[in-house]
Amino acid sequence: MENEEIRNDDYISNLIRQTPLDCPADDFVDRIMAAIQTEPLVVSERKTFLPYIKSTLPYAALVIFCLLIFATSDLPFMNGIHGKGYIMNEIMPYIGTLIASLKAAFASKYVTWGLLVGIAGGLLFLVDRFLSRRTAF
Amino acid sequence: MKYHDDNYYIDRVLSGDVGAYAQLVAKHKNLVFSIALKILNNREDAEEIAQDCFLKVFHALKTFERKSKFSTWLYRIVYNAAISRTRKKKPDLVPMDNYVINNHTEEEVSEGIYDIDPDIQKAMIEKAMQKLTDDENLLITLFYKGENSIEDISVITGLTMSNVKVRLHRIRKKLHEELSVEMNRALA
Repeated sequence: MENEEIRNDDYISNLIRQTPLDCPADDFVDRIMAAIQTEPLVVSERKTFLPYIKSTLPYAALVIFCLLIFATSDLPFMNGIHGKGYIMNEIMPYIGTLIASLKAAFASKYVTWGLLVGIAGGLLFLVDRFLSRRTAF
Repeated sequence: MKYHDDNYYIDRVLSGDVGAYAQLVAKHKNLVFSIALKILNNREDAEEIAQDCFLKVFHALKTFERKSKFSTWLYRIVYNAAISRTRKKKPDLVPMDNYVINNHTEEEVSEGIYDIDPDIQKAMIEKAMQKLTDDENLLITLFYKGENSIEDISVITGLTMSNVKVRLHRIRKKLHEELSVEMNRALA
């Protein structure tokens, strides 16, 4: 019985394979090639920026939330791991000195303009590099 | 005509030989058109969808990462495009299992059918295939004529592999029943 079923299946398979496929019009390939010739060969696909922002927003929010808790909390377990006290007493003075020196540098308008142009150019370059990445199929 | 492997043409197109794409189109045009036609049931619409898909694939060729077969990727694009067109034009599809079971046994069919002239056999199978639903015709086209694996068909249609297997089994059974009807007519 099982052999008979296999024989029937094979028979039907062979018959189906012998039936011809449907064919499009004779000039089908020519029409496609004509359409291709009139268009540029490669269109670079760009990723939209929005999905990337959406995907990174939760992580950024989580990091900011943790930093806020870390910097403002008076919980005792923070004391033993160089938490708030360490940041306020050891790190912040250095940051303050850095900001003060930056202020002095920015006092000159030529430095300010130069930095402004440099940072803006760098950011534009990075954004362009990021947006130029190809999409995956 | 004997064709090369798809990757051969893809490499040539990507290296600037646009004409090589014509070979790729010629190689796949019949199955692509058949898939669209089985879903849309209209030659003009099927040809338009097939043409659009070949153009779309050409422009996206650079982004094809070759993780799957080119044909699987192409057929999936055509399948999705045709289904989208169908939803816009024809919302009511024929249910998969809506067919009549007649009273002929498989033994009766297998005993008599081999005695019939091969040309009549072909005509009979074509007639039997016309009685299949669009979904069923698409599945057997992909499986038998396109020689796609169950896994490939699963990727193309979005059905699970077990679902594809069950459906193919049902289609074979249904074809056998339809053949028995046609055989009786032929022998009468």
